Amino acid sequence: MSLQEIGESRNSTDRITIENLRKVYGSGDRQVVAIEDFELHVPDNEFFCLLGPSGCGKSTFLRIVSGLIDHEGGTITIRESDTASDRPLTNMVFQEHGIFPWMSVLDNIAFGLKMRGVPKRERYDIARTYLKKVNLSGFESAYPHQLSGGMKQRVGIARAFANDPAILLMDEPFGALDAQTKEQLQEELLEVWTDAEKTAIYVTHDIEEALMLGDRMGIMTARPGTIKEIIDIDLPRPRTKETRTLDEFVQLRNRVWDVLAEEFARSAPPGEDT
Amino acid sequence: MTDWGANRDLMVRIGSFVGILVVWQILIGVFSVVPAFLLPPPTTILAALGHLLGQSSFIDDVRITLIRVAIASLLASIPGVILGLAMGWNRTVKALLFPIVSATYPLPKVALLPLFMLVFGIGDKAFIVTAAIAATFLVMFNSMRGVADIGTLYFEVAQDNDVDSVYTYFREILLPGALPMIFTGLRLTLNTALLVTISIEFVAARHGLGAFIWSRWNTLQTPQMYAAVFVVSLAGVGITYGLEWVADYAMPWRTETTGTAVQ
Amino acid sequence: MSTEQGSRWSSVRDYLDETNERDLALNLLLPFVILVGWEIGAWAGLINTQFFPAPSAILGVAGQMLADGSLVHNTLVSLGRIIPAFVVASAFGIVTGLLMGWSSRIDTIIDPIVSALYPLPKVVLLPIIFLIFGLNDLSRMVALGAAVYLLVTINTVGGARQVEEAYLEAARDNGASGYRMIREVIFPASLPHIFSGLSLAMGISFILIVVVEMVAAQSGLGYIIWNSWNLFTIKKMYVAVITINVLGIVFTYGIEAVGSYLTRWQERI
Repeated sequence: MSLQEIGESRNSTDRITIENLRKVYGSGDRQVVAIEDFELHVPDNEFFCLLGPSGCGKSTFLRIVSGLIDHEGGTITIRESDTASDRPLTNMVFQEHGIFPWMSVLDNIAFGLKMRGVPKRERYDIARTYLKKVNLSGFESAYPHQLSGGMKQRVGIARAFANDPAILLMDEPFGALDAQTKEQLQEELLEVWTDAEKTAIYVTHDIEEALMLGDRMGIMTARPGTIKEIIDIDLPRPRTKETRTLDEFVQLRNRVWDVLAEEFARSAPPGEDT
Repeated sequence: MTDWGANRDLMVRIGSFVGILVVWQILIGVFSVVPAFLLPPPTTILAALGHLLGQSSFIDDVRITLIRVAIASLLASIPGVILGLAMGWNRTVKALLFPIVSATYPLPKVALLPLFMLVFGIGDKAFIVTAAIAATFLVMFNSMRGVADIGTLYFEVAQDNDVDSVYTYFREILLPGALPMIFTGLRLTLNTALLVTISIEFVAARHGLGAFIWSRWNTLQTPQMYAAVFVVSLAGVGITYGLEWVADYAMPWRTETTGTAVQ
Repeated sequence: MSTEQGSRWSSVRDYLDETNERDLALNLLLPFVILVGWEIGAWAGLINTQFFPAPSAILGVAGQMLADGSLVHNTLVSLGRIIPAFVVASAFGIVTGLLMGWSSRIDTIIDPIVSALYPLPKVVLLPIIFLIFGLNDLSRMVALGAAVYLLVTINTVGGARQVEEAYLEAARDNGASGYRMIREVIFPASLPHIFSGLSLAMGISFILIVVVEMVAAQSGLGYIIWNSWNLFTIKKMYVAVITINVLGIVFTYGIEAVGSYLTRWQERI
């Protein structure tokens, strides 16, 4: 089955509707069902966090939504924007190796635009705008090897936003960073996101990160991968360091922990790929 | 993946190779796309090879070439490794030797053959020395690189673990750490020695596989020429894959072949 | 001599940057000692000047050869054989390698041939090509070209195959495919390997041209070497050898320098 389908979903405020999603690897006896009965509705401009332990299939899920991988059952419906029809449906921020070492920072940010045929001057203007938004001014001609891990991720984020997709997909973008940088970038991400008004699906295994960033959280379980529970994150925005100290935050965290603990208890021995 | 995957890959490769031979056989043997004497079909070449293997003069030629390659490689390895490691490890040695070595590396050592033939006369001495010098360069560079690749981290670990003598450091840390690169160097050495030896035998030798090939070219005895070419390729294959096998044994911790610089 | 992690040229340059005066002095020490020692030894009769003429004498003959045009002429002849063959064969090699890295179907077809020819000492192609094409400049260039093509293809494929899957994914996600995938991702990512191959190919070109000119040509620097040996005009032999060495330095390290510049985005370790 091929990529995402564009169309109207039943619930007209949904930006993306996923129903009965199914992903299978291999065939016959060696078949592995990675994802099954996966259902999700994400309304416009919501920041949705998908939480789950390593190997539960969340990266696979994200790649299916982005069109990089096929799926074997179910539907993915994305509502096209009313205004711009040449926007890409989705664009992804990767955890590692997402930006190209042989291109300068600015060229990297402008890459998606270049692939879609945006003329040179225009795409560099757009790229510069987002360069500023992620606080990388001055680094236009730098090469990735001159940047720290955090800065590289900023480039990835800038590119994704510059592409102006209907849905932003993020695959644990801060997973490889140290705690300080991670927190810093989380705040920056939220700033850019609030500014841009986009729908986002953010994959992570970090509970606190999910609570900090998301409007809602889906807890994903493995074998087969599906959403076990969806939790509303009723914390006030903007989210800051203070948010972590709120009672609601702690309660939500404990609740999520319980759900996950239950999942760990029932799960089989480790060792499956995402 | 599992062994199953590797075996299948090998079978596909062998299959393609056999396929090419079959196509070759048909194109020339049956359709005569190219005159058979220019490019004989595999069967003809194989027949010639079989015939040659029964001739002691040919076996001698093979033996002579292999011995030249072996001696040249041996002669090259020892100073090559020593100088290479020394250059890699000691700044003064490197400062002294590196410029000259770098400057003379791009010279094809075959160009020095006439000079050595002047000094040693036309014969194995000149041939082997020329090939040995060519191979020494490669061993040196690769050994040098091997040292650099170990990095300072191990040095600090070594100091921390009471490695106090130069010899101990050399034996326990430097040499094993440099082994992968040294193996690559050895592979390049043998291949280089083979290449240079065959070149020399084209130019100036009366015996050896290169001389054999060249003489058969001159007399247009093409099936024999191709048969000898095939033997030379076998030598090349043997070197490359034979060393792989040894390397796997000597460096069980290795996960992949090092250095893709290919000759 | 280069590997995929930056070239020796850049390491030489870094070396010069880091090096102090003492090291620089050591650098020049050995060449100086050899030259001066040789010259003095020749004058003092300690060295057999039949086989090892004094550097000054060699320089003198070099001057003569420049003056009568023979040095320039033969240099151009040799280069005229190497460069066109190298350029054309490299271009084809890079394209082949990239295509093989991009499409597994193409790879499956071409790889067996290339893999079979890889362990072959390239010099052995010479008699085969001379057989088929005769003995002329075209066949010399074809022989050179074949070796260059093989080396560049193999190294390019090596580069293309090691491109991180993640880069390909990121590129696809941003709308790249087909030709643009090759141009924007596979080609740049393979550049270090490509230049490795080019440098090696240039080395092999020089080896082959010397062999060819020593044994199957009537002109060129290799021919001068062989001819001077035959006629015992040893000083001319030295001039030719040194000229080839200089050319080798210029072209092989030149390629590495260009490669170093084009891959300056790499992490220097």
